[in-house]
Amino acid sequence: MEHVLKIKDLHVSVDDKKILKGVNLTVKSNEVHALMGPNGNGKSTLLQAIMGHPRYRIDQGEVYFDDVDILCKRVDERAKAGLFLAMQYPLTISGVTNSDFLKAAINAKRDEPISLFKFIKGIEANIKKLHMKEDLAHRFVNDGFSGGEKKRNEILQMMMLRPEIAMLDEIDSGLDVDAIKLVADALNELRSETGLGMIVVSHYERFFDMIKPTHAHVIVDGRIVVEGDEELVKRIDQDGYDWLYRELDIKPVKINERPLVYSLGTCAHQRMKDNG
Amino acid sequence: MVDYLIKDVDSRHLHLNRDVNYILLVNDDLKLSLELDGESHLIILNQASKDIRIQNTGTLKKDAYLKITYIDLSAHGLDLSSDISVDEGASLEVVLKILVATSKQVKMNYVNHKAHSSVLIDNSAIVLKNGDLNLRCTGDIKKGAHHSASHQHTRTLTFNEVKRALCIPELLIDEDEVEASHALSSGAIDEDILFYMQTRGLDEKAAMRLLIHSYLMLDEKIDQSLMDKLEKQVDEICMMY
Repeated sequence: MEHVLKIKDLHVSVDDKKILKGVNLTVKSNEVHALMGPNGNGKSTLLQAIMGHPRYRIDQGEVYFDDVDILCKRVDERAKAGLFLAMQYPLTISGVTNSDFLKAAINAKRDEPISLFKFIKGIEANIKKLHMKEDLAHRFVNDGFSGGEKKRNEILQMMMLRPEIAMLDEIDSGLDVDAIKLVADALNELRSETGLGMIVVSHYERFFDMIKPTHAHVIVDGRIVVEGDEELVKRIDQDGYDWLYRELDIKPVKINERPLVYSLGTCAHQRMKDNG
Repeated sequence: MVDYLIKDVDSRHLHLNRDVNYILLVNDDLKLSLELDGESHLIILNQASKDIRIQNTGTLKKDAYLKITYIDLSAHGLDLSSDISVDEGASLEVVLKILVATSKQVKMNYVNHKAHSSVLIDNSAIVLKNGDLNLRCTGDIKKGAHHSASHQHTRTLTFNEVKRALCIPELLIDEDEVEASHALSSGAIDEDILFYMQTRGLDEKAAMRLLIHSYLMLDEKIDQSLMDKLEKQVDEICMMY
């Protein structure tokens, strides 16, 4: 069965700031859509908004997955329908093992819980395929993982959950050359096995060269300003975006600094106080 | 896997002075004193159906090892004080799993008394509506306890309308050549973590269940019937949220 994700005239705001200003995009099974553009111009916002992050407000537009309006669906319902988001910055869930997390996620999509044997066989095979540490299943989700391990763990989760359409947000950043190849191989294998459709955000032609995009799009200032295929990816890799700004007479959004988040803590210097 | 002996505590005073692997089921106020060498594992499980006070004092002798776990999932009040001194080459691991639906006070004081001693503390608390937690945890490295370590990690998960979730992770260090750290995280469930879990298909309830389990369930395997009982208690808590 062919699956279709259709985005129509999508406008999205974050904290009252308009980020997406009318995005149209259709992704079908087996297609690989390269999504490029300068930082801070809406690539991640598009993926987060499709998946339903509560901080991203939909101002206008529609998103359909297999002709079902998903904007009125909960995040978990979108995931269960077959969408998957591999995050640019995967979260750490201390105290929850990868095994428990994945089992719960797999079972959420099933009427009957997955057999322990099948689960273990599946996770072990995928751990091996991605050259991850053998004890991964028993480690807490992304806790103490290196940047590259976190990214591979996103792919591991995807391979276990087998979505219809995957959205990969800079999945290649933080990976060394060998790991990029492993991830690309895993994506290609899943695509050939299941007809996985993909939206892939990356800045690197090398990664796109491995996964062979069927379509390419460039987002500038919240709009897709140019579309093409693998050739467009190569041109951007060679020439950057300046030629686009000149040809289309557009300007990219300047990157705002991310707000820094500090962890809270207290440190009581009682003895110092006692000693005056 | 540690082979624990389950022991109903029927006395208000208990003194342990040799290697022990006990799960102590506590139903009333308890004064527990420890004077241990060798390797010991203790799990202290509050089963009381009323407010109680647990006072735990002790000494770990040279090169001894003790892992002590306090579990309190009761709906009643608790006043827990734990004060243990660690001798040369000895290692102390402390785990606290606590559910706070009423007033609970925990005062921990672990002293690296001599050189090459080690203290590792891992506290987890869930503070429910009307819960009032006062947790003070002190790692104290004395002069002369060189090449010692004192690390503590506390995390509390709070729900709406808690009265208080006060945690003070404290380090008192009187020696230069030591390793010490304290970390504290406290607050409601992170919106981004919840979103991350939901993107994998877990609804809010299932995500919360996994998180609450991660705070309150033991990592190690113990007696199955006791594990089942704890699991049931945690599930009941999850049902409320």
